[in-house]
Amino acid sequence: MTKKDNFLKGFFKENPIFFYLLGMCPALAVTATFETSLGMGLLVVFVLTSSNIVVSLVKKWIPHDVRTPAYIVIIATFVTVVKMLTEAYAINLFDALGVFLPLIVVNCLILGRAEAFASKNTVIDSAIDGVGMGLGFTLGLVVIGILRELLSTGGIMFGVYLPIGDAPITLFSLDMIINLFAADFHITDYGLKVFGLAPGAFIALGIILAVFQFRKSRKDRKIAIAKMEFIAEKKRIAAEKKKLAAQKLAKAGGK
Amino acid sequence: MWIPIVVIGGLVLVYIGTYYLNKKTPIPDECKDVVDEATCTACHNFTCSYKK
Amino acid sequence: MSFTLFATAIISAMLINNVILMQFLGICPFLGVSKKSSAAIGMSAAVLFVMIISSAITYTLYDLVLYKYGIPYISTIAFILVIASLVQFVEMFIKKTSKSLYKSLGIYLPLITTNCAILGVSEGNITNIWVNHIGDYWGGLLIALSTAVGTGLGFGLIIFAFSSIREKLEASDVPAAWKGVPISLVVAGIMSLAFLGLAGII
Repeated sequence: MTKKDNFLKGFFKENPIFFYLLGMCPALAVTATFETSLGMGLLVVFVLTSSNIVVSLVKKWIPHDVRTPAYIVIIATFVTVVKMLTEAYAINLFDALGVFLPLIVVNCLILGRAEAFASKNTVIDSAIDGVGMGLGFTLGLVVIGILRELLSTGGIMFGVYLPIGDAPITLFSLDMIINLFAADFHITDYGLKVFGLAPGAFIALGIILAVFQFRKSRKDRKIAIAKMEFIAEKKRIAAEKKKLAAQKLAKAGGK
Repeated sequence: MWIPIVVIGGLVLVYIGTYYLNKKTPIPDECKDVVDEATCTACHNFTCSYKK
Repeated sequence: MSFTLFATAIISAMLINNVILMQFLGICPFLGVSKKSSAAIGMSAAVLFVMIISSAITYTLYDLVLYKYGIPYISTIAFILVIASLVQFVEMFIKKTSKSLYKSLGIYLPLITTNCAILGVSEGNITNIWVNHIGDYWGGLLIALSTAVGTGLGFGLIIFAFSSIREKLEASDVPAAWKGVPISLVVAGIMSLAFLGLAGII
């Protein structure tokens, strides 16, 4: 596997959320808005990369029997660092994430990567894998976050939770499109509030996973049809050959 | 300064101790296949998909 | 007074702030184990058991050691270590004492270490007790224990109910794109919508 493949695999081919269904708790809980999803994802990128680096650095010294405890301690240390940094520099994000910030410790993704990848590969490969997988996780969170925030408020806000800029700005709003046709109509007043609440999280993630599954099932069906055609063609050729052989035999017998 | 180190160090030792003891205790023979099944169905686990 | 507090905490943790449907903790076992009712019962019993013990220990550790000596910032790492060693210990204990118990409950114990719900309840207890200004140790312990009992029961309730729904769902004709996890998530969303209506009880 080249370094580029290693980096890119987390985005689509092995996306942690959409294909492995890992880290579902944060994927449902912190994705009410685009910005909290982005913040959570970036924190996971940091923890995953640094824990992968440290695990691959110390892999020679950790006895095989106690590797899981060691990984848990390493991950928990980085999560504590992240928790303190977030509390110091992005208090709004800290409040919004709440209990899910310390819960990065038990995210299956991080322990899984330490066990399956970092404990077997070099430091550089593990770091690339950590960044790639973490960004793939972020991508998954951000997709859910954008869908939920668009449906619940009709726009995307930025600058409320992350300490960037002075005042929150609206990145995108459905009003911008609709006001081209109807000036006085504000679709933001008719948001589906339920998508910002708990039930909407389940339904939004269900819809996104269904889209992925639809694409996959179509691909599978195409492959299956191609396979069936291939088999039918082979059968036909075999039957023709048999016929020919039988004819030859009949001719030979006739003589 | 030394209190957090002592607390964490003690907990780590306790964890490693219990982990070791648990590993040494054998799983009852009749449960072995059930354990594998439970571990792999209960959580979509990276370690599971890589073991195959 | 303390009974009211206990009952309120249990009902609020079990129904109103349901651990799966409202707080999104323990989604992984929710989607995985709930295929069979027997597995659902075993898993939720294991979770309830570990949750009660671990929240008692973590609260005691926080109140009597971490907070007292001014080191609450190491709570996450200390809690995960407590939970992980507790799980190991309980698993070893069950292995040695009862085979049938191990078969029905013990096999789910290794999965519990990485279960968000346990660590989530321990972390939540700290904030909860801090917010409610409960000063003394015993009052806090009571709240922590009742929250743990309520959360564990709520977890079991939902996971069992969902496994029953899922057995019906397996037999029904679902479009290929929605089969499996997507339709389960939508069903969970509708259940969550129903539980949203309980918010007015207390």
